[in-house]
Amino acid sequence: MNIRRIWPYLNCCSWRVGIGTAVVLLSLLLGLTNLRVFPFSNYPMFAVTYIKPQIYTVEFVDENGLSQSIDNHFLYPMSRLYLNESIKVALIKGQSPLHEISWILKRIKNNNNSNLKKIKSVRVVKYLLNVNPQAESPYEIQNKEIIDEVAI
Amino acid sequence: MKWPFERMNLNVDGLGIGRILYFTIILLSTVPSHLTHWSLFDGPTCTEIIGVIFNINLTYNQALIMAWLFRISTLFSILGLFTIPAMWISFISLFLLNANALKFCYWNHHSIPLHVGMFLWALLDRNSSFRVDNIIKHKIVGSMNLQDPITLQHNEILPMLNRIYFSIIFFLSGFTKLKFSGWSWVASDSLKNILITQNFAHENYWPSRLFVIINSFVIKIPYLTEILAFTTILIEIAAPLVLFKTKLRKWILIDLALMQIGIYILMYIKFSPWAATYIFWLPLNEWGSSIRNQINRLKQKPI
Repeated sequence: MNIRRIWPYLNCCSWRVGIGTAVVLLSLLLGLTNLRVFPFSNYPMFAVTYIKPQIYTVEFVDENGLSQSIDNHFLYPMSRLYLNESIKVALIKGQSPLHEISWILKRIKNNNNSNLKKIKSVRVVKYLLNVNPQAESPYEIQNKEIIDEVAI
Repeated sequence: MKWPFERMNLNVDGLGIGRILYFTIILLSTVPSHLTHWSLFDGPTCTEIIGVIFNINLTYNQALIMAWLFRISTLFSILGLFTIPAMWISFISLFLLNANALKFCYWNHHSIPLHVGMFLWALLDRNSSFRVDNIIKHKIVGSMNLQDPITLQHNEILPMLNRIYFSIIFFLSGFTKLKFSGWSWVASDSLKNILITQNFAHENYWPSRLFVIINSFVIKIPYLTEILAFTTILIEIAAPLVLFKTKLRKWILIDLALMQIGIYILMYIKFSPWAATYIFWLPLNEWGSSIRNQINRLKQKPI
């Protein structure tokens, strides 16, 4: 081994090089484990197999019994994508998903929007989706399972 | 034994161009205003799942200050004005903003890889050129000493560690898929199902209606999503090969970039901040020399 050639890379006297190398190695080691330590990531979000095209979300039900999925604008800065993760995590942990969406109920109560005033209940639902390019939205809801519901 | 990695010795001008490009991409592609809104978020936290070990709670005003600090310090890093403090402030302010946001069930794939890269810049860049600092120093001291052997050594370490980190983040993306899902991530409708759910998840926030049409088109073609899933894992696992000077390197780099563009088109996830991680594969020394020659030519021209 030509130590002269690799010596600059192993130079113990430069503490900056040591810290930099340690941080990069740490990102590899933490990534290989199940640990998720910010800012090192093992990028697990889409790593699991999606057996079905299903997603957890929240529906608003009005006085006529008509339901509507919560939109991304209402959830901001959250989004439907992270709401799905949040509900999924609660279900895995054996907790009620209603606890996870209590902030949504608070937002409805504190909002003066007339459409939101008509909401009578909020549901946590699981959608089974399919692609539908002909429609206004590129998806269609094939099946809906109500997980939990709470009256406003 | 021959050292297996290709040595990447950036000269001060190459490093200077690298710094300008890196922080310009970060400034243009990161949206700190979105991160500040998480301070107003009233939802539950899931710190233990997300892995944020720092309990950082910024008020909205504190987050706004952080966002402005981030913008100004990143701009200073580009210009090379108070370069080292500016790079540290840029790194710390984005770190705090993200840590504040990430304690909720929110995992930002877009800017997470930037933290290590920004830390390496702040830690190891001591002599990149094209800095306003150098002009000021030149005016005051009269000469510049850039030949310090210890700092010159960092010109090899900084690009090399960034290159290694680049290969690690892509390799781990593929590795995690195989670890969590095994072969079923490829040999099932998994990717197809992800594409369908993304249509719902991003409703009315699709980057373009054309992307939605492409998404629907790809889903309908039999086996295409399986082929795309297989290619994705193959490229991600092969990412460490870019560290070696082989004929494959160029193709793997192009494929990784195309994969991220494909993710944007099909899944509406924008990876534009990741563009900063690609700069260490660009001919920075050549670009640096060419800009240096232009500057010298301008200096020699009589006014």
